[in-house]
Amino acid sequence: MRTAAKALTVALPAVFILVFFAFPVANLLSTGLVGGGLHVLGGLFGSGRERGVIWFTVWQAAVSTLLTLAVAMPMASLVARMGERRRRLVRALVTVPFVLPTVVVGGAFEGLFRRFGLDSGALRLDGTVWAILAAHVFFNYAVVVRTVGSYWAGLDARLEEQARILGAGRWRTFVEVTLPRLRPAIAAASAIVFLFSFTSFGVILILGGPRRATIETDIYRFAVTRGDLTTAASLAVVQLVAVVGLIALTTMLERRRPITTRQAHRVSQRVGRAWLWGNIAATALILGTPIGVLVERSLSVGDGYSLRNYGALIHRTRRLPVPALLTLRNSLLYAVVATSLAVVVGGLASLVVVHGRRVLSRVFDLGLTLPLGTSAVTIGFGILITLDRPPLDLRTSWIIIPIAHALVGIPFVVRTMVPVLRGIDESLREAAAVLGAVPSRVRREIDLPIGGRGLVVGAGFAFAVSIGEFGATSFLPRRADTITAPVALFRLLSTPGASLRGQAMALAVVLMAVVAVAVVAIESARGTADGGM
Amino acid sequence: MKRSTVKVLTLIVALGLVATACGSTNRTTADTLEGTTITLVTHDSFALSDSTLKAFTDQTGVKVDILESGDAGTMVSQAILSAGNPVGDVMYGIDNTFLQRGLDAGLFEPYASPALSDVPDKFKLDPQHRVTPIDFGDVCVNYWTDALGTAPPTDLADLTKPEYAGKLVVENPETSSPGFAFLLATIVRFKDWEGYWAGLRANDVKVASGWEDAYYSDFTAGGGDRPLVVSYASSPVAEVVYADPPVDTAPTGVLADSCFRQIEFAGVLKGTPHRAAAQALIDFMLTPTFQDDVPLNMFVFPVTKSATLPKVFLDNVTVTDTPLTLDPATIEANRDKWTARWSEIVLG
Amino acid sequence: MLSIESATVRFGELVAVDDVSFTVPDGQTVVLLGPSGCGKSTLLRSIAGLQPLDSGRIVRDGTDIVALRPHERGIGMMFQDHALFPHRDVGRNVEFGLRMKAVGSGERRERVSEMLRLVGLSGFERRTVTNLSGGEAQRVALARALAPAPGLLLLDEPLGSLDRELRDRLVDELPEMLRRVGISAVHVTHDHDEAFAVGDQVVVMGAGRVLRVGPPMEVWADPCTETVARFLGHRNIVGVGARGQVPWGEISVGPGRVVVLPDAATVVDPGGTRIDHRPSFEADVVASRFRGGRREVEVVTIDGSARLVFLLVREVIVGERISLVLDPRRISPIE
Repeated sequence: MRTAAKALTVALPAVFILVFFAFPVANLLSTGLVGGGLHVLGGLFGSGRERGVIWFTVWQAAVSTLLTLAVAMPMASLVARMGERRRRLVRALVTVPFVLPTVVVGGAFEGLFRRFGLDSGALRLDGTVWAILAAHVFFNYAVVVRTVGSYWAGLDARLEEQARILGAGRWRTFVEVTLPRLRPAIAAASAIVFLFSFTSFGVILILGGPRRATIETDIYRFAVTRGDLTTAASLAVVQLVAVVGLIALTTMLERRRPITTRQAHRVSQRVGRAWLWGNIAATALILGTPIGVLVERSLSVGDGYSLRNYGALIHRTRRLPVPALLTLRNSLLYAVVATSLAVVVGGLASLVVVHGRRVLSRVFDLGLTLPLGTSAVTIGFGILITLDRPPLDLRTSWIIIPIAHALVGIPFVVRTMVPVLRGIDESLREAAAVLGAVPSRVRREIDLPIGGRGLVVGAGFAFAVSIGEFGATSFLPRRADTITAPVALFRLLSTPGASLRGQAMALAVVLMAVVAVAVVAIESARGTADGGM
Repeated sequence: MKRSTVKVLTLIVALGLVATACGSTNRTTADTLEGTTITLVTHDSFALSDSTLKAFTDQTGVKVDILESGDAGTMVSQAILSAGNPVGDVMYGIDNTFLQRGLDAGLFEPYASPALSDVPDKFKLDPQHRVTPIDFGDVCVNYWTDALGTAPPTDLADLTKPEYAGKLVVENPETSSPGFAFLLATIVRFKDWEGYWAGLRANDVKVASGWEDAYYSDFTAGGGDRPLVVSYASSPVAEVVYADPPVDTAPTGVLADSCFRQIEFAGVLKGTPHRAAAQALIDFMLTPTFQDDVPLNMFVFPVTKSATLPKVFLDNVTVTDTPLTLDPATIEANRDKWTARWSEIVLG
Repeated sequence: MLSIESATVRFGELVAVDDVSFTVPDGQTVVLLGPSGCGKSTLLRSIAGLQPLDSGRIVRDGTDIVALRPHERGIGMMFQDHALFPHRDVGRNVEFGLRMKAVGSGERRERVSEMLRLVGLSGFERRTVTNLSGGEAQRVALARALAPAPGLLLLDEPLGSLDRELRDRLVDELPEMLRRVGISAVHVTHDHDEAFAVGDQVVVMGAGRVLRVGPPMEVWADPCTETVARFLGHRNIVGVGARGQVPWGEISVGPGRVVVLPDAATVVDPGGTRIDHRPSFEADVVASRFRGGRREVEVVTIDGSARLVFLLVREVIVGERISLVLDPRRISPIE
């Protein structure tokens, strides 16, 4: 019984990732590289253009990560000091950008640039690398606020008080006392932001201008437009190698010093008014303005404003097989399945990462984060050519879509849960053991409920990722009768006509509202346990 | 420990198999079509009235599942990857810019539909009938009449003139299907197409990554400052059909001289266990039921001579008799060369 | 009955627990007393099964339990800082061990309220543990450890984090609660007052080894070694010559080193009659402190060679020169 539970903990995530990620990707790469692939791979590094593309990909991802950290850390600090209720609300609100299709956000950004005269001239942002970075900050703000903020809330505030009493100023205290203890969470958040930016597709194409290319966009270009699978596979290998290197690095940072978070003594810290409002204003500016543009567009009809676009969502247009609002039902269904998969697989995997033997732990950590840094083309096409024969012909099954979503959601669950699990005081586990709990029971009674803080944040992410996901699934065949909201939105936008565009914008706004409510609901499901941490 | 791991693994795989077996379609080679379900693989612009495919099912007893696969390029790439073991039975939506790639990969089995007699010969690009033409659309430069501030261009060559400086947005041919079609239009039209693009660049042409981006961000329709965009001949129709508030005439017009013809084909995918049903679906696509339903759903034109166009189409669109065309084999052979050269000239 | 036989734990080069043996008779509390780092907590964790022994046996009622894992040992433990589960309320903390034994919910509820009554927290079932005071958390931890009716209770510095008043109160109450349950206990502390108050037996440890074992009074009055004496807080450690001479005169014990217990001295009137033949000596009072209801007086012998601390009945004032006699029964030789 005991070994069976243990084996399941290891086997379930392992089988999932092997079947739905590792085999498909390996299969695609070997198909692509067969005959002359290595030659092409070598040629990539010889070509000045591709070297430039690889360098730009890494560079923009690294800068996006640093910028996002810099911009989002103040809000994370605020979130850490909030009451649980408010924290949940803020966590949900910042998640909203996650579900917005890049084509919509790209449009909103370009609209903003135009409005403020940043689309041309000396202060031109449109079509520059700055536009890419700004959009990445917009999308990833939530990652830092949620991951770091929640972890921060669990730290014992007495250490900061001690430092202040010993004469350290606010800034010194932060740098010397708080920051080192936040390292696991910052490392986790950075890894996610980096990988997200690393494989960013729509933002690069839409906002970067026609001259920008990354490994991700080049994989698409070679695999789809040119039909050159060999070069695409070679690029995919380069991408995988880079991602493995990065994950290994952050894993090292995350692991180095476990911080105990038991019985955090939260003291109601007064937050300076200027700090509070400065933060809210900054967030409103960063997240609010592009969203504001969307809301405005969704309300604008002709020369005035009206709710007509929202009303139109309940009627079917010819461009969609069902009324636009109904596509939300499919999205929610997929998201629920994907989130459940991500929580189960990611939750079990986190236990293995934290408690498993060294090698196993490393392999899991790496293997489960990898999908986040792998091109949507590689995953989609890999599944297509691998899970293509009975009894495992999933190509036409609806389940493959939530599975693909879960692949992206799992890293979020693992990355947010592992630091929390590592922070659990060992004596709690020992106490449970002494009280008669067998090791698997200890995992269930101590690790899972307490790690649930991370799990819940990860689940919120997984949900939002699934609701908004457009990448991996656009390279998989989709059943037309289960069209999701982002796909519907994209289709509304692919035909001229003001009413279609208005509907698309209204659908985007509804999508944001739905995800905000859903994330609040998911995170409330945890009950009181979180509040006490 | 080892043994139980194996047991658990076996259990999981077995469960997975049962689950998937239940989900997959039941494929039998039956002589009667009644009760068969076939899968139509198409791109994500596909749309029909509810009644249309139902009419097919009523007539033949064949149910049709629809599987969408991103854009046409993605769809063809996917089909090539799974050649011989296709995801579906019929593909619909492969156009002349990707046709040769699909034919070279041996995706289709020949089928000459009797209904082809109703289709003009100019659409029948494959003499072996591996694919059947179903609809066509023209990629043309559109203009927003009120925002142009000058007379609309009448000749493709006009676009390099000073009065249209800073007014045109095109799509990148490497990432966009209409973008590539427009590049082909210029290649067919101008002997010195490279010089033409150099002229467009000098005239401050803007390049967007895709149609949505160009039409809804840069073009006047989305509040942008470019009154000229590469779009479709049918776009003005959609501007009327989906106008809000309603309008009588389209705010946009089409530069007929710039139109490149895209023909969309359907084909029976090689490896289908439902050949007869698949062929029946191809036949059905050439019936008036299907052909008449195509314009207002996908904003393309039916290929059959007997098809009728809705009034809003007739009022707002002119189909040019002399579109620019290019042989699919030439397109496929030169695609990489042309787009690379284009990149050097326009983006370099 | 529990016996520890030649228990040894090594951490690399360091021998944390070095060949330790002692027994815990049924129903008694044995206190492991020693400075921090002496190995007492490590030994306790070994008894619980949390730290494997490198050699030695732990025998409970005739069976060696070394091979058993913590959850199989049926031992209760109170952790330093309590280790209450923050995600469960008081009641669910207390019932944890019962759930592990698959006790039915009705019986669990009864047992929980019985335990909370025992520790004086009736009605606390639904309180969250993070809002408890230190003393309450302590009691909950005790109730949780006792609820599954373990055969043995281990307490790791259980009173370490409490304030003085609470600690004093719990020092009184803890043995009483354990007696009522009738459980054997091993209690680890570095505080000798606490050790003497709660223990039936005291095991003094230093550097991983057992230095002295015995009932509290005996260990206190006869620490046997200077290390133990110093650790127990004895200040009056004196070298005695072959004929009982000390620098300031003579005392009637020796030779060798001795510890003069603080209650050994009586003040005598220098001019008055001597009740017996005990030698007296003179000293100057340098400090007088009132501690725990008793007067602790620090004196320096007039030759300045020794500084001694006594509990005196008669009132003295700082600066006064007094004569003292020592009761030889309150002087113990040490090694």
